[in-house]
Amino acid sequence: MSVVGGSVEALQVAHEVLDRWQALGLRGALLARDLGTGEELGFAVDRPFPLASVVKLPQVLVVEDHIARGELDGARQVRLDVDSRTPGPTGVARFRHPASVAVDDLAYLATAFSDNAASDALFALVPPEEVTSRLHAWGYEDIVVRHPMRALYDAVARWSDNDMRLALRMAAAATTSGGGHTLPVLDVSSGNVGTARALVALLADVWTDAVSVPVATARVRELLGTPLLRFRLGAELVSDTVSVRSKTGTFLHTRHEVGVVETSTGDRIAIAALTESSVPAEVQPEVDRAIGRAARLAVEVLRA
Amino acid sequence: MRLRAFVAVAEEGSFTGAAAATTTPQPVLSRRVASLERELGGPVFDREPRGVRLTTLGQAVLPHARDVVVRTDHLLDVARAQVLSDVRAALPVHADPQALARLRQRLRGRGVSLALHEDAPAAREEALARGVVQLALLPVAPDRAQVRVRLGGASLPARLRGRRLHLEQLRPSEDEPGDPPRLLIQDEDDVPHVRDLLTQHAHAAGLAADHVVTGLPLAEAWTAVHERGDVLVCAEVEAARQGLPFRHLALDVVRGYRLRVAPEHPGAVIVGDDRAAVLALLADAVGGEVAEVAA
Repeated sequence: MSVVGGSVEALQVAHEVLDRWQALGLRGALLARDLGTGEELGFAVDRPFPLASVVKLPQVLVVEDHIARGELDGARQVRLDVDSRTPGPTGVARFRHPASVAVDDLAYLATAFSDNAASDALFALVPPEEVTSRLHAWGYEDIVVRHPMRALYDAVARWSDNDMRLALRMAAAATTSGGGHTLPVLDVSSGNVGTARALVALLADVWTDAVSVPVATARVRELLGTPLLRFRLGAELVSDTVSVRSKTGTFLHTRHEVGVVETSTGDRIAIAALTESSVPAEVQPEVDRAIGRAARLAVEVLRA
Repeated sequence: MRLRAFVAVAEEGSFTGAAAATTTPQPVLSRRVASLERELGGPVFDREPRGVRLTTLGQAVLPHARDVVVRTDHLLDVARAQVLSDVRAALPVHADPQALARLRQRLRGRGVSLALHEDAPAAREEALARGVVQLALLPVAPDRAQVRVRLGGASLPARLRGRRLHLEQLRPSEDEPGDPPRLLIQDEDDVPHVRDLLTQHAHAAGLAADHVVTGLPLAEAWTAVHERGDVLVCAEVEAARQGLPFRHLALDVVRGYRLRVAPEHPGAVIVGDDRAAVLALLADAVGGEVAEVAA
């Protein structure tokens, strides 16, 4: 396992987090970078992980880029029918009646509520291949978007006859063998994947307006501030003086969160925490807490 | 002098005895008493062969003459103490003895002997006002300070992480067993520009109200640091003396001091004339720097 750290203390903390995650049965990657100094700490930063809902971060960046360049109309109404839309636990995905939502607002629903139906409505307008090609044009070679959110649910249905518990057990068990995965959407060669390094690079560029156009990056930063629940990165951090803007990803045994921690003293620290659990449970508070702990340690070591 | 001669002759009962007791030649005593009698308008003694006896006038003025003599003696004592005796200084409890030794040596070279008193800020101010001390280092807001001491936190090695101390670090964590660390504020910092600033920021950082503690005796505070990993707000020199790691607070919190001397005390005036050097040595003693401020 390659551990990254710019100081003795940073290396110590990276090892501390890695040990803790391994004790919890987590296979994971962590990268934290101070956007002011460029100093980093983490481990497994180049290992690809299936992104789950974290894919909505690069997706929304590309969508906002299209809107800012006039290639897509943010006010355009998109009709979401009950039968044809993508399922999911939140947002429009739970609506009982047909709805019409503007593109701008779909982007909001996709980030604030991690709304799968909203996300797939956007993928219908800006397909996964288009997202990937623009990401690669910007230099994020290690983020690959191959399918809409619906594919995750379709795969579970095919794989385990729509039994999420069974799928969860199988997904968790398959982790230990490493490498590929029997569930294609969880396989790094056929699913939506990204590395901690690429995601942190993308966050850093969004925060410094080094990608797309400033109108689009400002909108992405704004959207990342809207999520209703913060139970991972911010668990031990948020207060009146520290805020977190981020996107989570939760699917079967994966638990991710990527975002930027901002402090009242002007520090900005981008963090990507990507994990796969070997414990077959849908709610894993210990994992959420371990991610929160990692973020706190990283911020304490890196901030000025 | 005339009153003193009068009282001496009255007490001894004769000019001869008074001359011996006061080691003043008898003719001098006689002249002084005669001068007094002229001013009072009549004799104070009946001169007799075996000595003197107070007249009615003499009996009437003797108690008052005694009173004036005693008061004059007291006044002279005070004046003598002012000229000869030491300057007492009220300083923060953590002032470094080595720097104070240099300060004392410098003042001795200028004829002032320095005695040291340690007190909390409010007590120092009061001691100066009451004349118990003639020199005091008093807390003031940093922008008015002549000496500035940047504050940080001292704690156990495992507790202090990163470059500077951010109060967010003191938040409880479920991964760290035991009581979460408290922020301890010593009496020296129980002043608004330190205590209130820290408290406000601690609340903004999400610390519980009872995790900021003011008013512990200093020994108790250092013990809590060793015992439960509390973080004590202090100057870097204080932490070094305890052999504990120190981090500056990210928040700009400063102990500000002004040197105040008793205006009429001659020794204190000498100290005041040497203010720049005295300030530099005092800054050394408290682990701070001299700040140039408008008088």
